[in-house]
Amino acid sequence: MFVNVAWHSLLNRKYSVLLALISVAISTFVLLGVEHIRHEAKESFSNTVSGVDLIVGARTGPLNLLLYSVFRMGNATNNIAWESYRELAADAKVAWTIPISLGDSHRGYRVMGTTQDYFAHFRFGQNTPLTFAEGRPSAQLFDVVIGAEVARKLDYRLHDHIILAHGLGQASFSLHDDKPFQIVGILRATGTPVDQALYVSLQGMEAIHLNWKDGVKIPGRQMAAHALEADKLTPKSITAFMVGLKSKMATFHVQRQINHYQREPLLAILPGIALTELWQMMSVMENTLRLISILVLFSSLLGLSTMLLSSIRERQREIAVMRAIGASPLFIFLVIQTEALLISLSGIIIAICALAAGILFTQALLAENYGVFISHFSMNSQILGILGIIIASTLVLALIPSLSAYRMSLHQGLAARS
Amino acid sequence: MYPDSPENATLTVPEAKLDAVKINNLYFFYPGKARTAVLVIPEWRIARGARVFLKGPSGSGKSTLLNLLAGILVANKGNIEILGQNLGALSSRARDRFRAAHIGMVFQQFNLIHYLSVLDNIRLAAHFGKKDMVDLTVTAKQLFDALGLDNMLITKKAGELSVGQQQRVAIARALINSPELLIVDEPTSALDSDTRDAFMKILLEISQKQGNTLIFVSHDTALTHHFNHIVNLAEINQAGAVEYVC
Repeated sequence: MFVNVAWHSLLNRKYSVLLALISVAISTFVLLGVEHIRHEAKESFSNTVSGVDLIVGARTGPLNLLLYSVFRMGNATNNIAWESYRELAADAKVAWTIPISLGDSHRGYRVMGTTQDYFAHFRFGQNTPLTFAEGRPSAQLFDVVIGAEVARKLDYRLHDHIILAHGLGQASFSLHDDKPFQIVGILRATGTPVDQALYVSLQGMEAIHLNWKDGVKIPGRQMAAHALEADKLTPKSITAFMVGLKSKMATFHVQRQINHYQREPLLAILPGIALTELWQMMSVMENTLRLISILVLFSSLLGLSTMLLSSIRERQREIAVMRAIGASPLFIFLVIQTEALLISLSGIIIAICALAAGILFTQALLAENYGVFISHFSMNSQILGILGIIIASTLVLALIPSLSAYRMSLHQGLAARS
Repeated sequence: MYPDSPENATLTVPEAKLDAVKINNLYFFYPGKARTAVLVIPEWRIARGARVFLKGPSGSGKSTLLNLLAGILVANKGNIEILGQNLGALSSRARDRFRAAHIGMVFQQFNLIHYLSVLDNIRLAAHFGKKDMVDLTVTAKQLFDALGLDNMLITKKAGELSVGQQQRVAIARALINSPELLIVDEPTSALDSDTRDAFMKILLEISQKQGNTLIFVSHDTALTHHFNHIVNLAEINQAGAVEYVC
């Protein structure tokens, strides 16, 4: 019965109720939106690399190593000698390795020198291997495989010829224009930094630098591209390498072994742990966003209470009438609580619908323009927990008007003076 | 029909049950600095089925007395028995339920919840009265006929009715649970004289038909001829006569 009374009472004050409803809906939308994006960001973050047991680079900070080897941000401070790499890769406990050689770029996208092993062993997400949308892994010296975003943004097709630039940066002036590469494969989109890079063989990487010294072209030392033979192009060094072990049990042992490597100072990190550390660094930002959205929600619920509280004054007569026909103060208390709950529930429903629809419509846009993949909005236990907290806070804050109505119904007599 | 009429006297009803209202040594003051008694009523009885006209100047404690009779306020001392039930012995929840089931109330104005339909107003009263109303609409329509109200009004919002219609709907609302006691507080003061006479006629007819005890509060002495008991609150209330201070 009090639901019926509360419902009609709200309809009777549609404008102020509508405003309170919109305010609750917007703040719930913001809170749930922030939560969803945070969840998605964390998910995609921890999905960038999987199935790799160790990442090895020259000795530096773990985060730096993670950033340049996986996220392709920042630079390596030093390289690893090819001999060291071969020796460590030959260890009996090591199942496979993926060498990584960085330093060149193509129109702002980084070029990574690697081997076939990259396409065979690298995993992202939930142990998902890389697959080709078109073409195949690079086989020839001047073959290049490109990430999905590179292909889309630069509008590259299979068999296009491209020129790599020396060093990083959008507009490099030193181009390897004497040795064009041919696109032989385009990777399927992954939603990870894999999409934003170009992949050549280590030999190809070596070949384009043959007539270079200290990052500068040596004039007059042109070499015919066809004169190069792949087997003679052993690199002198690589930037980093990823390691897959035969047994996970050996991870810490191998890590220690690499960290104590005698020939040169190396660092081996566990990608999972390093990713967690990196995420924790971002948690300040994450918590700030969360705090702001909680405060926004709190103020809108407070606004809802204020709206109800000011309505109580106008409802003296109505309360007197209800009392006269036998309503207990509890009934009047429940009517006000129900009103708050109805507004808050409707606000939540509107917010969820708007968020689900908003994500549905912006998904393609975000993926296309920013390479950000956001999954559909779904009700997980965390979202349900947040909704529970919103409803509980509504009921607590609605105590202000409903207790006021309760007290009024106790002390005010039957005939409210008009 | 009155308790003192011959046919009633033969019934073996305890004497207390014959009274619709029985007040003994009532003493009431509002909590506050003054602590001066508002009502002091040594004894007052209203027989069942009586039609009482209660008059008194404003500020004489009429509203306080009605609140006490309805069980919204509780006496500081003394007993109020309504229909044989001592209100002071009931919990506040039970008093609310007792009021809903046994007392019908009509006020000067604003008797209805304006945003509910007429039917919902009546339904709400029936809900609190815990009357098992399968045919609530039928009962409401019978009351509407008796009150000279158009049945079409039942689905309208109470706020859309004229004041005269609202007052008559208020009677229907007050009578839906067939209360033994009907308390009416200056119901005609918002009405013009023609409407007032029609209203009085209907009110008296219908309460006579239902056999309720009627307490009619007004300062309009022109209406006294409709009643068989005229009580001046100033005469039964001794609060002004003696300075009762707690």
